[in-house]
Amino acid sequence: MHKPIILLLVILLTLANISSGYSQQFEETKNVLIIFGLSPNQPAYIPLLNGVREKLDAEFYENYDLYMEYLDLRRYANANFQQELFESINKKYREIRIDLLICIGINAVPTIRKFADTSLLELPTISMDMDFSDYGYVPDLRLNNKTTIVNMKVDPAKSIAFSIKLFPKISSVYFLAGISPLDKLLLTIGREWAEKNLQDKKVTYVTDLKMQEVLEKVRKLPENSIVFAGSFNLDADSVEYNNPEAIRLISSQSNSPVFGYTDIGIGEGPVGGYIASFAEVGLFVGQAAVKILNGADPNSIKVSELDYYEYFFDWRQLNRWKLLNSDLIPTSSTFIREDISFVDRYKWIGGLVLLFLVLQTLLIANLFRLNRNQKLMTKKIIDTENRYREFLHEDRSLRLGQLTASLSHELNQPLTAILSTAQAGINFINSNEATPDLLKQIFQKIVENDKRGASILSSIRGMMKLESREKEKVNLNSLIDEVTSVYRNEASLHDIKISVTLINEPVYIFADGIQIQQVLLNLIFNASQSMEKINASKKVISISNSINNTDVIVSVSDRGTGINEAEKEKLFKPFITTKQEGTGIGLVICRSIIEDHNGKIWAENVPDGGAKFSFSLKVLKDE
Amino acid sequence: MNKTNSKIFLIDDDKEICQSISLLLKSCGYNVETFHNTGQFLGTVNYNDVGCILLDVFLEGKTGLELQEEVETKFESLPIIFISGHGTIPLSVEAMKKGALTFLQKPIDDKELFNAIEEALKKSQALITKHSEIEKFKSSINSLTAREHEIFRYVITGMLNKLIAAELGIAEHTVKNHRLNITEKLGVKSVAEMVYIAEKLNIKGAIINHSS
Repeated sequence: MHKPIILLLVILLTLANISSGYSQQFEETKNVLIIFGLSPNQPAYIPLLNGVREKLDAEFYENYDLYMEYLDLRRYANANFQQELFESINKKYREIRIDLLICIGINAVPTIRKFADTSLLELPTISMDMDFSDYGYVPDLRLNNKTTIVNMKVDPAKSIAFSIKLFPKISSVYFLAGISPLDKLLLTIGREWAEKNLQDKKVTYVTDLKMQEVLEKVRKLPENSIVFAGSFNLDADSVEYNNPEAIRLISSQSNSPVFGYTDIGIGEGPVGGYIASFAEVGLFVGQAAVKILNGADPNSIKVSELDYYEYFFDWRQLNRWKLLNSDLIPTSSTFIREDISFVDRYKWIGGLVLLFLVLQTLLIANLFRLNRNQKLMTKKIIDTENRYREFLHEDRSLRLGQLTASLSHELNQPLTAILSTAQAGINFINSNEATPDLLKQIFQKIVENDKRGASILSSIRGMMKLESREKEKVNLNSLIDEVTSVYRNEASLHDIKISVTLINEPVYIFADGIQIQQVLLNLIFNASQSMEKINASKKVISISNSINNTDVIVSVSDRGTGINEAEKEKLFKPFITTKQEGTGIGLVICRSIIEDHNGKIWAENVPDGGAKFSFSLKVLKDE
Repeated sequence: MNKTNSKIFLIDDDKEICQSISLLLKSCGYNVETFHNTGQFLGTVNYNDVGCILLDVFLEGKTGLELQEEVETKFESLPIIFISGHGTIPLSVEAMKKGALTFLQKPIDDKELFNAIEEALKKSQALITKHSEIEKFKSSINSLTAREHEIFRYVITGMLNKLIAAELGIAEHTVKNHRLNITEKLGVKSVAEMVYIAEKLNIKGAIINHSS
């Protein structure tokens, strides 16, 4: 009955899987086309492109492709050429689905508008160029109604004003420019500003010179001069230079600081200053591209001067012109080619390394010390262990020595039985009364008693063994019974009665039986010795065990003198003895043995007089 | 000694020892009864004939030596032979002082054991004999009248009849008559025999008033 529903579910799940796979497949690559107005060797294009790439990389990782076309309009402004160029561009991008068009540079947009296919013209667009509209040069940037306008307003006046302030003492200001339209434009802007603001300085405008002459000039500038070389694309001989190249040449020969208006060429010679940064514009364009590719409206994205103007300096130049400590240079500025002495640069790291080395040395020294201590400790432990073993053995021998009387009695019993039985046998044979049944009975008795003797001997041997034996499952009650039966003789010699109250059923523990018996013997001997001077009728040693949760508690109590409160603490410590004879290690050994069995041992006084020593051990659960 | 008329009581808390020694004794034709503790023995046995007790020094409950006193009062005719696993000298001395016949050490040599038993049985027989003689004397002494008993006490001091008469203030022939009755009742012929009986029964001679 449920079959159709299950079938339906299966189908639905399968479909869901397919559709999710489908959408995954269509997580498409973003294709971005950048059309540059000039040739690829335009220096500004490098920081621009880097910025765009950085942002796209961060957002789309590898899921985007950049297509780039260079119109090279400065050299090939010719309409025929552009038409032919666009024929191939149009053809090329009919095959490729472009998601975003980025137009960069002078006259890119008008050329595209003129020659490009509709499919390209209708693309979301980011259009970027320098904007000198305040000086009458308005860039044509809007390609369509989906265009983000990135008009990079380069205002040399701002840069000049800031740079002049850096040198309070200067008297001469030089403006250098080439003869390209942009060169002239920027020079004009500088001049306009200088005529208004630098009336107290000697201002010189150098243009219409060959590069060689410019260089000649800057080598011999008077003291306290400053040079602005905002743009130098073409010299009087119509030799083309790109900006960084020119500015590098000029700064390398100049005896005075050289400034530009953009970040182009900084690092090659100019000091820097408050400048328009193509790198920042690139990042802005990249950011805008990400937004648009993610669905933002291109019209909503606006650029502002703050997006690309920054304080940007060549550290070495600042150092050369002694400007490093100038209050006018914001600490938030970007510095390149920072040339701090090795010690300065790595002061912190060096300090840290040194600190690390010192710490490491201390650590190693400490480790050596610990190692030595550990060796000493180990030796001490081994010594202690050996001594403990000796004591253990000594203690056991002592106990056994004390038990010799009882043990020999114990051994005498089977010997007596054997002898008497055998003699009886001889007598029966002599008197012809020996029936096979009787003889069999006699021999059986002899065998039984011989075995009994052997087992007594082996248990004595076991107790004499120095090394600890394996722990095993043992019945605590039998251990106690064995000890009390061995001790019973000794007890009657001293008029001591032994009262044993054990749990009815076997109590299994995981232990070295001989060691537990050693503890019992020690406690029993102590109990016996504590009662030496009391009335014979009162001499009783009570041995009992009881269960407390997972533990079994064995107690040995006497009616003796009890424990002195002051000695209670030290009772289980070595060489504390209140007895004339004895090593004083009996209770220490007891404690070691019991602790080795993860148990506890303690002593208390019994209200009616006498002491009670107890130890607890874990009861072995039945599997 | 007649083995069948005597009985040996073996008291040892070790079952094997009991069995083996009793077997040994039986193999020589003795009657043996075994007990594992003294309570059992004292509580159940009522025996007055020839026999002896083999007693282990170390016993649960009462020790062998403690038992010795009780046994000697209840069973006068049963000498005790102590057996001990590990006879300590003080113990043996104490036992001997209290009158133990022999102290045998385990493992027991059968010849020693039999010698000790023979000796004990002889002693038992002697004790019984002695006991029965005294009983006889007692009953004959009890058959004397008060006056005869008084005169008996004078006779055993060796006094002559007339002196006794003087001492008691009666006629000499009266004393003579009483004396005849006494010798008849006691079944004796001489004064010496009368002195022997007095000694056995611990009867003292009369105290003579020399003032008269």
